[in-house]
Amino acid sequence: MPEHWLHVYQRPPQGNRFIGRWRAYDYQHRIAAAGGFDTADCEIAVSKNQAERFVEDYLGCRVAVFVDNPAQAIWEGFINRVTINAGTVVYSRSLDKMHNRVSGVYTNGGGTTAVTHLTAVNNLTSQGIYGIKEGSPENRVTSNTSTALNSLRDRTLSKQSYPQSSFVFSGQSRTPVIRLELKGFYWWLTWVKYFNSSASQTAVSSILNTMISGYPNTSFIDVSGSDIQTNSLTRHPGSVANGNTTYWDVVQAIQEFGDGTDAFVAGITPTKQDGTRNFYYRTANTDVDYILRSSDGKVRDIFGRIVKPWLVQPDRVARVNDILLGQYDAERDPRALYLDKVDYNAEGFGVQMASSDDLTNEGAFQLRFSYKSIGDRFGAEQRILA
Amino acid sequence: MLVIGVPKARGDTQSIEQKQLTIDLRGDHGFVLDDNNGWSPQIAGLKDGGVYAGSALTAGRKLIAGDNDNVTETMRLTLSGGREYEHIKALRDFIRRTHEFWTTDIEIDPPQIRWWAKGAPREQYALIYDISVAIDPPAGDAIGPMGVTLTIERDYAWHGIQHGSNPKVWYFEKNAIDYDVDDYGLVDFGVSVGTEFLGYQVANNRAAFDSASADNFFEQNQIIIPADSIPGDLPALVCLGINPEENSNFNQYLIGRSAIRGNTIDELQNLLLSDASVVSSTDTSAAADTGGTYLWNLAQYSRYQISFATITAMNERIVWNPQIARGEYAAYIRARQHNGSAGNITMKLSAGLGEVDALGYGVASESDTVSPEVLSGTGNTTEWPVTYMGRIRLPDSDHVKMTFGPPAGAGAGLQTLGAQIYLNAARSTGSGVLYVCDVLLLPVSEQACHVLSPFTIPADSFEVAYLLDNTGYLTHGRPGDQGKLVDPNNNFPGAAEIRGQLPTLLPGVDNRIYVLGLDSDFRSQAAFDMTLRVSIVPRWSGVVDA
Repeated sequence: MPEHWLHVYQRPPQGNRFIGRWRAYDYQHRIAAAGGFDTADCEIAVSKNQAERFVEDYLGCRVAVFVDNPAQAIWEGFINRVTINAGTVVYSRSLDKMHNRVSGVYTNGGGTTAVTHLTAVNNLTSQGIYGIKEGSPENRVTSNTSTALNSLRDRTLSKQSYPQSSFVFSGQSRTPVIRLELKGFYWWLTWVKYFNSSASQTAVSSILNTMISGYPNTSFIDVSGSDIQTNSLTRHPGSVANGNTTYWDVVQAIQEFGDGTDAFVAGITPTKQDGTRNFYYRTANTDVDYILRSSDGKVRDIFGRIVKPWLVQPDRVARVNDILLGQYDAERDPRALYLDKVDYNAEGFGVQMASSDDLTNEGAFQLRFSYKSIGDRFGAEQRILA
Repeated sequence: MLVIGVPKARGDTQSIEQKQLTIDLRGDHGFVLDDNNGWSPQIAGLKDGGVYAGSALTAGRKLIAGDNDNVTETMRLTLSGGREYEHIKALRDFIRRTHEFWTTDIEIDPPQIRWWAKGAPREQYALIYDISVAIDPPAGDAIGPMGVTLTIERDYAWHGIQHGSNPKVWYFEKNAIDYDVDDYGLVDFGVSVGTEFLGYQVANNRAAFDSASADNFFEQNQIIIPADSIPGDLPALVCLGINPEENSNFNQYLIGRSAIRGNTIDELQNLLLSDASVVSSTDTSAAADTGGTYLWNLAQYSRYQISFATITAMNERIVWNPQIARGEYAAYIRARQHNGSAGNITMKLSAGLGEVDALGYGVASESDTVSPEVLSGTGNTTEWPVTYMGRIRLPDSDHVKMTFGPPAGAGAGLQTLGAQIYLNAARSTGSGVLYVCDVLLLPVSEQACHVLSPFTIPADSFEVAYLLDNTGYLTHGRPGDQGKLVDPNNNFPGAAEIRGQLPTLLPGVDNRIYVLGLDSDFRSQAAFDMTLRVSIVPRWSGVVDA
């Protein structure tokens, strides 16, 4: 099996320089049609000193995983969590609970005043290292004034401006190893909240353009919006961006509408030669790009060549060619499945692909949809769309 | 013999290498290996037996992945001669340092087994990953002869020289060349280090066929290492030094290795030229030479321009009939768009065996659709943007090489119709002219890598070299790839980034390493040359035989 290499680069606010590369063991990744690179994790073999370096210096660093093709990483993202198993203790540090910008919303006690936004407070030093990661106080206080909530906001900032750690005695001896949990680029869009109170009906692609151009972490992605495809379907921005939504929440909501006919996908492109990444929004790819055969477990391209498992991508159609022979219906071909996500596991040398009918994934997808389906299988509560 | 350390360079009176710790297992230190039953050297097997695909519904099973495991050696010795406990202490010190080498940053000297087999032409070395000892002491508290069992976990490969040594030592020793520390240079810093290398080639950053014979290159971006230079039965490790020509500004390289059995490889192409044998199609013509000094045989090998008289769909523009091996390639194009805006022009490669007609039948593979960089300038130019186009695959078959013509006569063999590679391009909006230099095919199904450094090379760059090493020399004996930008003043600290893996050389076949140089803006100046210097460390799974 070709070796998998994890390349680590500086955090985007600090630069784009290469730091080092390590062989990745027990590597697995997920790539989703909505978002692109989603999650990945692996183990690396390093000395104690190097493990401490990961904890101290490499959280938030950009990463790329290479296998056999030096021109194209199979997965890209950033280091979200570092876990060290050392003997009987498990030490972990992550960006999950880090918030170096804290804001919030509140309403007055009688509910007669519209939602009010707290002034955001910032830890500029942390933002200069990691980028802006925004959060709200854990408890939403209903009050006539913002005094209490401001205190909560300030306390949150003082405690959570930097990555948080945990330390657990596991009770059993483990082989010392360092495990990295990685997140894809689109997760950066969950770091910052977006608010647009406009009630004017606006083309959804324009809503995205306006939003992306204002994304404050400009070192993370190109904010020009050059890869946003026009979609004339209209919404009013206030219905999708109510101030407690993140940039990704807005993208997800708009993406789910499509254009009334076609599905759309959105995410962040891989890093280009010039070191930049773009936000993209475009119609989903419904071309048949993969051929499957029920007689073996291999994925092939349309020319019959085997596609290596680490190269299999979502947002394309796979067709099972050796069932229902002789049947073909352009609109509802039962042999074709649109791939919502792919999971690759290097140790098992295999890839699992999931489409919308996959029962094991329905729960996860429902939890991540902005607008959940009403139906027997999940039973989400009906929502009133503004 | 057990050894910890790296030998000093011969004649180096100022070396800072530490004195090596050695433990002779053949009598000098009290250890005596039983000649008959003491040690049977093992050969590595597949780790965990390999990964297989199989099912109760199909016959047999197929190996789909696997790599060599470490080898566990068991040695039975007798320790005697007085001072037994001093010898045990030395052995325990060896064990401690072995563990520290792998678990800490303190110990930097590699632990190794040195073995000179009976009848072998030379000694060989294997890296030790773990070592433990069991002692069968004499009865009671007596000090006397005792049985000792060593269990050693070692690397699966025996090296032809000591780990951490300068790889040129292999070449000097093998050819009985008298050498000292002044001969150890691996790259040129304005003071020639000569041509005493296993492989030495002044390579060009371009390729062109000899007009008298379409099978021979007179300009090439490759170095060929012949089969008889590569002993061993495992891939040989490589130290590659690259000295670019002055003012080239190269700070990154695309490197590929191809090794094809059963055929000569002199004529195999990795750069698809826009040469006279290329069939050009609609809107495609030779680009005018604007007078630069490009060192090509321009009368025969022009660059091509595609003028896109109208806005059209993706059409075939250039066809190549290359001599190329089966496999999977990462394709790069040296091309640029003159005038217009980015995205006006798109390009795609398609590949197939035999005739590919206008409808695309016969296509076996397609690359991604990409746009060239806008870099205005008419005609030929010194500076070509390099754009990655994706992967293309030439079909697996019984053919080891695709030729561009039918066999010489009836019954000449299986090789009939050859590979064809097409550049399809379209101008979908706006304006623009596409200039094409060539296409580089990097064999990712064999070995390919991209080495890059964040440093911008100064204009006077002849003293800046790349040193790419997987022999362990730059890592003081630790296995792994290492790349460095080097100059005599050490102005470029830190390691270069290596994407992919540095090449190894397959024994028993001709190997080719080809190189394309680029600057920090991903532009490649075709006019410049590079001096390539190759040193190797051959490896064996068993007894060395050369």
